[in-house]
Amino acid sequence: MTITETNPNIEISNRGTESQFRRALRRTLRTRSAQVGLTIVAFFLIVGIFAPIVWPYNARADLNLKARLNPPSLEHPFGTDDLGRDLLHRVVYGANVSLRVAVLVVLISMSFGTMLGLIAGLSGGIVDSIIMRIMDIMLAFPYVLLAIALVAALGPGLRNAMIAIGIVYIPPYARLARSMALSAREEDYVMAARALGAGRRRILFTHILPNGLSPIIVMATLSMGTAVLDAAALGFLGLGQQPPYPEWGKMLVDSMQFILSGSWWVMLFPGLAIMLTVLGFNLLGDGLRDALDPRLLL
Amino acid sequence: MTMYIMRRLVSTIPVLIGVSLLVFSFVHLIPGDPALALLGERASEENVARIRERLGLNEPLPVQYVRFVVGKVTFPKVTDDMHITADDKPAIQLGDKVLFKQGQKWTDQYELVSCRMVTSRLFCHEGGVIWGDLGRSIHGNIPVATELKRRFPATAELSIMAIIIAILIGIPIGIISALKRNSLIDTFTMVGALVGVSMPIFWLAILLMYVFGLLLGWLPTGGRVSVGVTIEPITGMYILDSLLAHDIPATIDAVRHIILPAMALATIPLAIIARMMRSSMLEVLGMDYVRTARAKGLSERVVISRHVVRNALLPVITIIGLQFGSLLGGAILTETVFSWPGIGKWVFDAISGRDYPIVQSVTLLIAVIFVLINLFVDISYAFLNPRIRYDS
Repeated sequence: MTITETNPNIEISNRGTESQFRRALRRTLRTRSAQVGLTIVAFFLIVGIFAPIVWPYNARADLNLKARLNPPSLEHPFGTDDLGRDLLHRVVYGANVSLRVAVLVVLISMSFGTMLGLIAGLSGGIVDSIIMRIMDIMLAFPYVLLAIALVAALGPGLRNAMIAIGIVYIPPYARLARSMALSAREEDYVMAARALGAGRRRILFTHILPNGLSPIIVMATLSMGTAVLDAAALGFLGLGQQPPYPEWGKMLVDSMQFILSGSWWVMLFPGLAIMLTVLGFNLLGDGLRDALDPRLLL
Repeated sequence: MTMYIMRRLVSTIPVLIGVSLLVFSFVHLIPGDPALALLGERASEENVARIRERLGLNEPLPVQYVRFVVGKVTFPKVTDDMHITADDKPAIQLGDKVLFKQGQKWTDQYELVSCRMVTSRLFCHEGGVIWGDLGRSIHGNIPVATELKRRFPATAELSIMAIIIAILIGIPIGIISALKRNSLIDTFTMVGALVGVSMPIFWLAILLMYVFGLLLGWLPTGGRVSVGVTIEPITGMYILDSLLAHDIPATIDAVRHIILPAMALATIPLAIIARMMRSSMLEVLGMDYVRTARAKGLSERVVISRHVVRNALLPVITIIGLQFGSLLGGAILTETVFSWPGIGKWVFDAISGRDYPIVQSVTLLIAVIFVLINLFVDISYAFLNPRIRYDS
């Protein structure tokens, strides 16, 4: 980014050859909020990916009853919890859990939602009506509640929590993809492709999808943040990751009983970790939206 | 306008049917035995059979769905020899059941069958959510509807308080941010709003409880009123009830208890309302009619209050409606932290106890309220925005 700012010649010479995506990315990185967001997200990604390799955590063996509820110190920068477990280690490892949730939830909802929306938009008629009515019905529930009801039925656990949140997030993608397909159907480039004899699948994957990717990317980034929040909420309700494995939401609900005795650190750090991660995704999403798709102002 | 309202009302029906189908299918369509899923793998065969019977799982699925929605309906004709007097109470012998009179209703001793007298016939139903029969909890065998009626006012009071806080703070913040665009105030409040939407609501609740309840000791940390304070329930909303009873100390006590949970619950809608109000204001400020209003010499205050704010509020109203619906979902988390005896705390306990009929009923109820709020918002929107009214 600094190169393009200090040396405008390079930018001009590149403009013709670089892809639309790279241009958009460069535009994104120029905004302060996206820079901060990307930094936070990158930090979280690195911690989440490398924590289990660099600093392995054995949840079953981690116990030190001699060091129960110790306040933050040099030895334990985040303090220890009621079982004497190092909170820094657990918060760091929790990043891995949240990262998996964010990625998987978005993969599930984005792929199913986009597919359903495109099918609805391109087929029209009764298929369109059925798919979109189902989406309307799913939108009639508050997200957290629908996820709670789903996991309560499927049984608690991280995998089911991810599936539930993934399902709950499908409708917005379906709506977006459908409107994309509807407007693209009338576009000249799609008509031209059809006139050239391109099949439905080819039109879908080589023409419509790439052209409508930006709003989907924006939505995916923002929903990674909400996925982390909702997963923490399910964890808080005891429906997510089961003990003894660390998960930020579960750590918070466990911390509640020790607040009365003044052990503030037990609840402070997991909460901060959730907030920072979500904030990072939100900032990055906002920046991406401004750069990629100014129409999506909400 | 009437046409628009009618059309909107009719379009709600399929959504409500769909909502009931979806809630129904959670229990019945997931792979494996729902009774086992409810009780856990190590449940005894006897218990599984009991739950299967209770949930009516031995019937075909469409029958189960109809049972869930309308229950088992019968219209027995009442003859003179059916009237009996049991334990000095008027009663009716209906097959092997004895029905007692309770207000306008006739019910058996377990309240499984509920009947109303229609001329010389009885209209009876066993179960059926459309009659308000939400089944019974697995633990304690309590009618879910009765408990819901008792707990709902607490959640409603908390949600209404939260949305009032969100509106009273969010809208002025949005207006000021838009009018002072790119100023320090604008940046500060918008960063604050972003942090607000990024914060887990239950963490904020714990923080508020710790700081204002424990460290500073300004406000109570849980419950609806202090021990020893009694409020005669009229609506079930304590602030309103104590005001109606002119019991000012009780009102103050109830308000002190509601502040922290309401603040926690209000944070997300507040942030969203402020952001929406700001962007809506900015859009309206660029409109031609605002320029016209200024050009004809109206004072800036009149332009802002009469032309800008009023028009900018329209999309915000939709958001307020949507947020009010999601508050009911957020209440589950807030109520758990503050031991607020509403439906949220109840669902939390039901989840821990795997009491699925409660989870199912509350999910259904909240979804129906959510749909109805959206309906109300759409209709009020049509009143406020002539374009929608005339289009229809």
